[in-house]
Amino acid sequence: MADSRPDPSISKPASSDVTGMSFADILLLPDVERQVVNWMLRQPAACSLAAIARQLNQPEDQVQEMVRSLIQRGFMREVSDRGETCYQLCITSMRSRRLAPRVSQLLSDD
Amino acid sequence: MGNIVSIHSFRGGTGKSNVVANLAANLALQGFRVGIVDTDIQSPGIHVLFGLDVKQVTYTLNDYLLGRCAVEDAAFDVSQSLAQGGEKMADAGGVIYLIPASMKVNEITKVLSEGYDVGRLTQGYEQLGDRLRLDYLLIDTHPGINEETLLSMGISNTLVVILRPDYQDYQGTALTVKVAKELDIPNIMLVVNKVLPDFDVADIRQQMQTTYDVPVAAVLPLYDEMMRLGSRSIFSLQYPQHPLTHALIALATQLKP
Repeated sequence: MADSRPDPSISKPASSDVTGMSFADILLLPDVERQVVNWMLRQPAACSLAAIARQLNQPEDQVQEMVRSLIQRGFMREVSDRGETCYQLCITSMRSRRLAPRVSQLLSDD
Repeated sequence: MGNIVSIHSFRGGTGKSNVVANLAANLALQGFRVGIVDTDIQSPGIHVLFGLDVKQVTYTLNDYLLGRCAVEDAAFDVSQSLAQGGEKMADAGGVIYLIPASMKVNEITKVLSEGYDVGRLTQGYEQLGDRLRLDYLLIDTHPGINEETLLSMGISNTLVVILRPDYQDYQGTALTVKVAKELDIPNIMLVVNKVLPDFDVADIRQQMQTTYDVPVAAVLPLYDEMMRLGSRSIFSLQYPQHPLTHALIALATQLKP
């Protein structure tokens, strides 16, 4: 008969050591925020508020609110670029999936 | 940085790596400098098509992601050793650099279990483009929706989604196209692969375009020669006059910005 007890070699995934947003988070953003993030992903450098506002075709004060919200959630950060305040995306930097030690050992014996 | 092209499929077995290798070969024959990154860390394979024994190489993508080397240290000029086409590529000024993923079990598990800095991967793409003066960077992705494929899609100018005429692929492709549109990828195109010879190609193209509302860049029939080749080498170089090769050349043309 099949053993229905949990397999001790399979551990629960450890919580990821994450900062910032993941690409999966991007898909969950409201439309306007997602539009900005998608655009910023493809920019070579940090973006000014004016550039973001131009991209969205919205007034800067409205965009500032949205940027502030993204910063508060850890998805964006403020940086200084040649004395000008600009914004950079914070993409999740490290993601780890822990395997149970026995499984790791078995797979590592090469 | 040139054109970043992600080649993706929702499910495995669609012929993605073969399409990537053939695209790279046809672009290089036209004189373009092409990079290929095998980001399928869990099941690497495209190196086989180029005859590269990854167990003999010094550095792989895994080493770069783990911070052991610069990204260009893991880039190998695989065009110069191609039996067919290598010289023609060189004469045209074309080249193919492959950044392979490791085939060593402990290297695979190390990256999967420890994770890696996502920023390092995206930085690596940029550095490859600059340092190797690439016209195209082709990203061969792992099947399905996962963090790595989302990352590749998110930074790509072009996404090629490969599917077979198969109902599991149809459903999965719908999801992939939806995600791709939400990531605002500038160019999304479909390639329907492994189509049986008695299928109506025009009809398939029309149906796919209507269903997914994205252009169909190619409908590639299933040929015995491709099956028999079994990824031993690159089809376009082995059979330069074959109708499938002509279709692959036409597909490569559509990647030009």
